[in-house]
Amino acid sequence: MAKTLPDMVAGLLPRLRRFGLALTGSLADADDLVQAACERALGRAGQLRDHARLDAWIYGIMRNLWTDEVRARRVRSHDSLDDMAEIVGSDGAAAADGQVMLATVRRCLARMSAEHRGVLILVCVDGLSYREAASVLGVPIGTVMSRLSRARHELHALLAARGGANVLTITPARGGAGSSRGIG
Amino acid sequence: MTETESLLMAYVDGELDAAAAAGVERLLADDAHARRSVEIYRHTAALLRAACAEGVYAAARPARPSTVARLPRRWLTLAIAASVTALVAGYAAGARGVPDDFLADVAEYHRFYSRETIHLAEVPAERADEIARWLGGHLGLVLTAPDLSAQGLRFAGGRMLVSDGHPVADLLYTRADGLPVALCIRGGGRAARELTVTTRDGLRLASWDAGGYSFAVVGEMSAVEARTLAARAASQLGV
Repeated sequence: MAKTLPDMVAGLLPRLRRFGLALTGSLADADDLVQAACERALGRAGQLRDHARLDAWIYGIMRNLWTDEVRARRVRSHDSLDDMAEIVGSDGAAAADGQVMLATVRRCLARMSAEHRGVLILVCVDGLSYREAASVLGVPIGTVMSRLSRARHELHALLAARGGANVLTITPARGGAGSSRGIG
Repeated sequence: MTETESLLMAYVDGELDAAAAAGVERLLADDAHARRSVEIYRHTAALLRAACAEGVYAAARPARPSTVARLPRRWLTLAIAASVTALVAGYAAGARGVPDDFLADVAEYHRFYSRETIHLAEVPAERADEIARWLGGHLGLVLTAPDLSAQGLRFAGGRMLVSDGHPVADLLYTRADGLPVALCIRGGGRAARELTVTTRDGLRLASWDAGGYSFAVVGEMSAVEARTLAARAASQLGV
């Protein structure tokens, strides 16, 4: 049985929130943005040509809405990203889950600009092509590429600064507190 | 951004056609700087996929009120806000009941990576210490790749995968006849489960759960071979 558009949109909500958080730096603003974009998307379903890239279509709507909103109220972008830190979770919980490194990655992401966060989420996490990301962001492909390269090098540098010179070696298993066990 | 850097990143992101990709692979063969760049592009993407899994965003609650709420809410009607909020809450509640798709993910990744020749592993076998720290660190383990040479497998290295929001250590082994075989380990705290062998899209999967970890041996092989490799790996891992 074919899924209805509202069902498909509902299935995308975590991804839409993720991109919304990258754009706005605030989970509450991200939720409002997602709601507004979903409303608009469902009202304009006739304009959607390719359901396989429903996410990219709604991302584009989100980006447009946020650009308008920022312009309208001259919103300051969130420099200290409370919600991104919130999403990082506590180190204690993360350590028990073996996810310390992943929490560090989210913390570094929170320190980056909205432009860099957005392109990283679209290409590295959502797997959009450069062309699709360019369409969502309303910029040329060359801009996507240079932004993406800078963002990756910045993330690499932030991680290295937190853990040592080589990002590939900064995740030793933690001793003590039962969070690390030897096997093999 | 230089043209070479553009090419290297586009190569990692699968944006090049076969001819251009082959050109990059020739460059990588004798350019350590280029190899380092490729490693950075690959590793940052892998880390971001692992760190930003959908599950992280499904259930999170805002830490403070929307800045939009303090201004005229020209975007929103209360009706759509309520319905989408309900969808978000419903999704978060449903996510806890989603069945474990570890094996589906393992099979899908393996189909993809087992065709790689030059870049089969992210970190090669020679850097076993790094694999132990890096991959093991993601899982909260000190990880030593089992020696499966008696079964004709040569350890080639490791890479990190992601399944259901959890990092997965993917230990890759090559063999003289046939495509590589992988041993995958993921956390997640599942209850202990006996070794079972299943088939998925032409791949054999021997899987078990022990000590809060899920294990799977995956590859194109017979059920007997899969069971033997899994038993051998389990005994060396002590699980």
